[in-house]
Amino acid sequence: MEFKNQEITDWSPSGTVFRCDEEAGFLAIDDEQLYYVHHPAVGSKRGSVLLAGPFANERTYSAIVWRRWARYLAERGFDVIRFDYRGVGESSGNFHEKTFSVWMDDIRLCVNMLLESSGGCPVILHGLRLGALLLSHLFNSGTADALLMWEPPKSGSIMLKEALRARLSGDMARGRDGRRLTRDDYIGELDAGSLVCVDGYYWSRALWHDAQKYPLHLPSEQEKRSWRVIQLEKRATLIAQGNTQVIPVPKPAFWKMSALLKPDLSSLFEYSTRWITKRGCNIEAT
Amino acid sequence: MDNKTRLQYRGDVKREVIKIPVSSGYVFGTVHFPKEYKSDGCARTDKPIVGFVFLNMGHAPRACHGNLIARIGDSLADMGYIALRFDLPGIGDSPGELPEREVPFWRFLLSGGFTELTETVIASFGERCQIDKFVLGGLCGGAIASVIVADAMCDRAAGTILLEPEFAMPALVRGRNPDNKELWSTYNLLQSQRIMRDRIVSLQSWYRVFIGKSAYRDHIRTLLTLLNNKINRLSGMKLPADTNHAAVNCWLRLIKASIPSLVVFSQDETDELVYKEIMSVCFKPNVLDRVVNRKSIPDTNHTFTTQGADSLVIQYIIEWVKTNFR
Repeated sequence: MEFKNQEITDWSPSGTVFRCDEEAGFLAIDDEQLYYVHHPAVGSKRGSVLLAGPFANERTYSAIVWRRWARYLAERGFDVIRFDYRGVGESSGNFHEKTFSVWMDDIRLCVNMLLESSGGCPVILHGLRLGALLLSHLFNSGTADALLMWEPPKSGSIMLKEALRARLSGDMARGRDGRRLTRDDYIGELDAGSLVCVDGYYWSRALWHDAQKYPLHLPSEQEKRSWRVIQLEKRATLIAQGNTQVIPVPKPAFWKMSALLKPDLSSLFEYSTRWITKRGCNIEAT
Repeated sequence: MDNKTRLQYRGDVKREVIKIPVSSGYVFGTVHFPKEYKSDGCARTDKPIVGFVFLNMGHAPRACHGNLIARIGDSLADMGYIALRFDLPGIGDSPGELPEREVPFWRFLLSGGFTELTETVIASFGERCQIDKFVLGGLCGGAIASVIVADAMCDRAAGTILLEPEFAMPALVRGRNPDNKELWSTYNLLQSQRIMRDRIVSLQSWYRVFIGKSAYRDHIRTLLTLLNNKINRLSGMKLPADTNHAAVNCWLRLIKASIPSLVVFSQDETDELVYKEIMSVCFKPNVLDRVVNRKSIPDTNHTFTTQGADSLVIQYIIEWVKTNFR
C-alpha cells in the first residue's frame, strides 16, 4: 500500500453529481436470483452489448474497471447489460453448486433479455476472461451479431489451474505446517469429491469436471459475423492468428489485486469501442 | 458439520436492489429480507426493530471477497433481520469519483469522509423499512468507517460488527505523512520484525552477511524504533505513531456508551496486533471485555478466505446477534 519516492497527496471527492438512469434488478431463474445492471444508451442507440465478466475473485478486483467500461459504452450510444453469475456477487445461490454449464444458462437468460429490448439494433457479446470463454460457445450457436473477447483463457481447465495458484500462494504465505500440498494434491481432492477453498470460493468436483467441457471455441474460418480477441497481457503466441489485437494493460492487470484504482485503459477502451461500432454494428466511426 | 452443510443457502431469504439518492447522485445497495417480510413494506412489532448495515471493505464491491458480506446478509435475514449492503460512491455499482491509487481513498474512508453520506443512506433505509436502530459493520476499512458512523449516529446505533478493523492510518508515501513528518508505520515495523526473525534462522541470510551482501540498515532502524516504543510504553501512554486517532476516539465513545461490539480478527496478523497495542494504552483489561466480544481465528488471512474462516465468522455473528438482540 505504500509507494516509494512518489508524490501522492490526500484526496477527497470534488462534488461531481453523477447521472441516475442506470437500473439494477434481479431475474428469477431456478428459484434463485440473477443480478443484473442495465446501462441505457445515451442519445440514439447504436447497438446492445452484453458484458459477461470474469471468474470468482477476478470479479472483485475488476469491478471498478468493468463498471467504468459499461458506462463508457453507454455514453457512446450502446445499451449495456452486465450481470453476476449465480453464486457470485449479488446473485444468489451457493457457489459450490455452480458449474460452467449453470453459468451458460445465466448468460442465455441475459442475452434473451437483451434481444427482447434490442429493437432491431445489433447485439454484441463481449466477455472478459471466463465471460469471453463462455460467450465463445454461445456465439458458436448462432446467437448475436458480433463477439469481442478480452483475454480469454484457452480453456476452462487451464483457467482453473491458473486460479489454483492463488491457493498455493496462500499456503506458502501462511507457512502451512507439515507437507505443503501441490496443485495435483488439490486436484486429487476435487476428484475425490471434497470441496477446495480457493480465495474464499468453494470449488466442487462438478465445477472441475464441467470446466473440461469448455475449451475456447474460436469461430471457424467460414464464420461471416465479426469477432475479435484482444490480448491484454503479452504472450509468446497469439490466441487467434489473424484475429487478435494485443493491447497490454498496466500491470498488475485490473482483474488481479492492484493498488491502482483507475489504470489507464484509454487505448483498450478506444479500440474496443471503435471495433464494436465498425465491426459489430457496421457503423463508420465518426 | 461438513463443508457442504455449513455452506448451504436455504433460500428462505429474498434480496432486493435499492437505489438511494445521495449528494453524488445515488448509491446502489442490496437488501436482504427474511421471507416473512413483504417487499414493499416491513412487518412492525412492538420491539424496536434493529437493522444491519454493512459498508464496503475499502474499494472491494459490497459482496466482498468470497461473497462473505453477502452471505452474512443472508444469514441475518434467515434469523429474521433486515440487512443492507451498499456500495460507496465510486465502488461496485455506485457511480462516483475515485483517486488514481488506493491509499488516498483509504485515508479518506478511514478518516470518516463518507460519514454524512452513510447517514443519509441509513436514514433512507430506516424510513423505508421502519427500522429504529442499526448495527453497523464491515471488514477492514469498512469496519472503521462503521465505528465512525456509529459514533455519529449516537443513540440510533445498536452495535457494531468489526471484521479485521484497521485502527492504523496508512501513510501516503513510505515513512511520510502530508505534513512531511517522518513516520514509521506499525505495518512496516511488524513486517521488519518478521523479516529479522526469519533472517536470524536462515543460513542463506547469514551467508549474505558474511559476504557483505546483506541489507542490514533497516534492521538497525527497526531495533531503534522498538527500543523507543518500549521506553514510551513503560510510561504507559504512547500510542503507535500511525494510530488513526479520529477512529480510536469514536471507538472510545462507543465503549463508554456500552454499545455492544463483535470484533473478529485473523489471529496474530497486523490488524490484531495494532488493536491490542492501542487498546492496552486506552483501557484496563476488564473494561473492554464487558462491551466487546473479541474473536481471533487462527491460520487464516485478512479477508477470511482460507481454512473455513468465513463460516466461523458467520457463526460468531449469529451467536453474537442471538445474545444481544433477542
